[in-house]
Amino acid sequence: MKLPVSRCGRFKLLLSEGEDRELTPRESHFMERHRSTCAKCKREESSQFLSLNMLRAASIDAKPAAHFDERVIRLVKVQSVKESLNYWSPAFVGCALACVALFATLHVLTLESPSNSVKLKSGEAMRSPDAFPELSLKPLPPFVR
Amino acid sequence: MFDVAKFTSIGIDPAAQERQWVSRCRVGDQTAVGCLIARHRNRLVRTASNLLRDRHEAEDVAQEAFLKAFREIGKLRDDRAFSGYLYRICVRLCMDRLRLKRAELVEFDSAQPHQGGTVENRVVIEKLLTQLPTELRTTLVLREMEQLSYEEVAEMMHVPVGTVRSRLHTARERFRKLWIEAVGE
Repeated sequence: MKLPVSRCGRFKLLLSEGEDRELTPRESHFMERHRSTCAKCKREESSQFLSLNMLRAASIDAKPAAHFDERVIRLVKVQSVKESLNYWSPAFVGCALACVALFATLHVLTLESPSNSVKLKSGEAMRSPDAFPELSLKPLPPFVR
Repeated sequence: MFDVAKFTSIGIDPAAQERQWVSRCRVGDQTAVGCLIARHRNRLVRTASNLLRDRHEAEDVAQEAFLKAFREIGKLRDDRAFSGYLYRICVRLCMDRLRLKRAELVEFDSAQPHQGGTVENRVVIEKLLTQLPTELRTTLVLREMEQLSYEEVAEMMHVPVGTVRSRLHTARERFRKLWIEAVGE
């Protein structure tokens, strides 16, 4: 349902729309007629015209500083290096960890382990007598015999 | 400064040229990056200056917008959309800064309406703009100062055209009232 709009409300609406598009002859006629009958709307129209003109006149036509491009290009390069580092850093860390683990394994394997075997000339190994487990059997009680 | 004319082929449509630069940027071509910066820097800095009313801050924002756009250029589906994407980032960054500034203004209440006398137009306009909500201010500046169409404003602010129309109507009305108070009509 379309709500009824007062004449002043319609005038304001068309005033704003008139800034962006050409009003139809009918709308222009309405504006003309209302302007001649409503002093308040006429004042509002002129104040809107002045305020918007002031606003447009206050536009800044700023230009970037002389080395703006170089600065941005340098920052883009830094950014891309950082990004590639961020991308590859998990791989680097994983690689480093794998290297450490490999080194540690090789180190452990090459260490001379304390052996309890006695090396013979023929290359055979024999357990050293110290390494034999000590057997201590308790004598059976007499009633078992 | 980077001279875009050196890298612009004569007779090539600027939009097609930009598409080429965007696709070359994706593979890390620094010359294409320079060309894109040179093409958009002036307008970007001017838009940010009008929104923020501060040239140095505008340069910072333009720089940040370029960095963000180049960082996410790989995610861009359509090469034609680069300029719109860049300006949208810039406007969004400006709006974020304006919101922060506005919060500070509310806290310290430094924006008092002008009481009679004659002051520079720009100073009055800056004071009046700070009193408008960020969305209304951005819409008004993009339309009145940057002379963008409704569709362009809608694209930059990521809102429907109808919202732009209603915001603009409200912004003009509020700006007019503030202006009347300021000049003591």
